[in-house]
Amino acid sequence: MKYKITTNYKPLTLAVTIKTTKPTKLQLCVYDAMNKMRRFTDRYKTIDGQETLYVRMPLSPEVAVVDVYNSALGQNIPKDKETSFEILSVKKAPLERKLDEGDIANGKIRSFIDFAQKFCFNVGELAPNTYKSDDARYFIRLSQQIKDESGKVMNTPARVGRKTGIIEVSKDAFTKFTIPMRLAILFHEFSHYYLNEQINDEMEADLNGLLIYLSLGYPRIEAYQAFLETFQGTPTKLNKSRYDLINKFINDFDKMNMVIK
Amino acid sequence: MKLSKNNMMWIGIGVVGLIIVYSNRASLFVNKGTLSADGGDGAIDKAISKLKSGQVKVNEMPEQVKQQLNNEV
Repeated sequence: MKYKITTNYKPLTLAVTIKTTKPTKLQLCVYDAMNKMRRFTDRYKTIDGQETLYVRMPLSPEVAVVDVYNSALGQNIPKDKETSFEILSVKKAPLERKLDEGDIANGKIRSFIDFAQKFCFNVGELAPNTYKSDDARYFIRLSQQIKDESGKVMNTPARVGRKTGIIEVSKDAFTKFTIPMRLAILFHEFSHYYLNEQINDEMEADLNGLLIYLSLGYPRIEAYQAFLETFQGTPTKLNKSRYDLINKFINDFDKMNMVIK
Repeated sequence: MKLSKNNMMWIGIGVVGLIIVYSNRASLFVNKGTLSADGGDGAIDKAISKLKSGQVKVNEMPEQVKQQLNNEV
C-alpha cells in the first residue's frame, strides 16, 4: 500500500500509523518518488493492533513514497485486496536531533558531512569516478566493486587509505543500502583517517562515526543494519565486541535529553 | 533617527565581520583534541560539545596526494 507525501527536501520525521487485526509482519519502505532506489528506510516490524512507526529523515526528497506491505504477501497488492492491515495516517513531525549541520563549528567536519550527504543521496546515478568535496579537501573514489591488490573482489562496501585518506566506495554494495546506512559507513571511514587518535582502531572509528550520525538525527535502525551488513560473514570476536559496544553506545545516546527541534 | 550612508556602510562592515568570525569560529580554539566519543560517563556529552565548539582535531590528507587528486578530478 503506497502513500505519497510532499517533504520538500526538509529534515523531518514521518509518523506512520498502522492498524492490524492480528500479529502481522509488515515491511515499511520510504523512498524518493523520483527514484525508487533512493531509500530512506527499509525495515520490518510485527504489529498487533494499532502502532505508530517513526522514520527520522534529516535528508528527504521532494516527494516521498511510504510503502507498507505484508512481508508474507509481498509488494504491489491492490489497495482494495489488502485486508491484513490498514494505514490510518502518515504525518509529518519535527525532527528531534542533538545537532544541526550548522551547529558544528569545525568547517572541515561540516564540509565532509555535506559532501557525504550529497554523495549518498546521489550515488545510484553517479558513474564510477573520483569525486571531491566543494572545498577539495576530501575525495571519494567510486568503483563498481572494491578489489584487493591481486584483483580479487572484496566484501567491504567502503574503505579508507591509511596513508592517503582517500575513501573508496563500492557502487554495487552502496546501491543496495538505504541512504542512512551509506552515511553510517562513510562516517565510520571518515573517522578512521580524519578523527581517530589510532587510525587502525575499529571501535574508535565506530563510536566517532556513530556520534556524528546519531547527532544529526539519522535513524537508529539503519545504523544497526549498516553494521550488521558489514559484520555479516565475519563472525569474529572483534566484531562481536564491536556490536556490543555499538549497541551500548546507541542506548546511552538515546538516554540523553539534549535535543534541538 | 535616520542613518546616513556612512553609518550603514559601517554597520554592513560590522555584520560581514561578525559573519566571518562566526564561520571561522573553530579556528579560535587553539587546543584541539581527538573526538573521543568513548571514555565512560559523560563522554557523549563532552564529544557533542567538542563538535559544537570546534575543539576537534581533524587530520589532513597529505598535501602531495591532495594536489595529485585535484589535478585528476
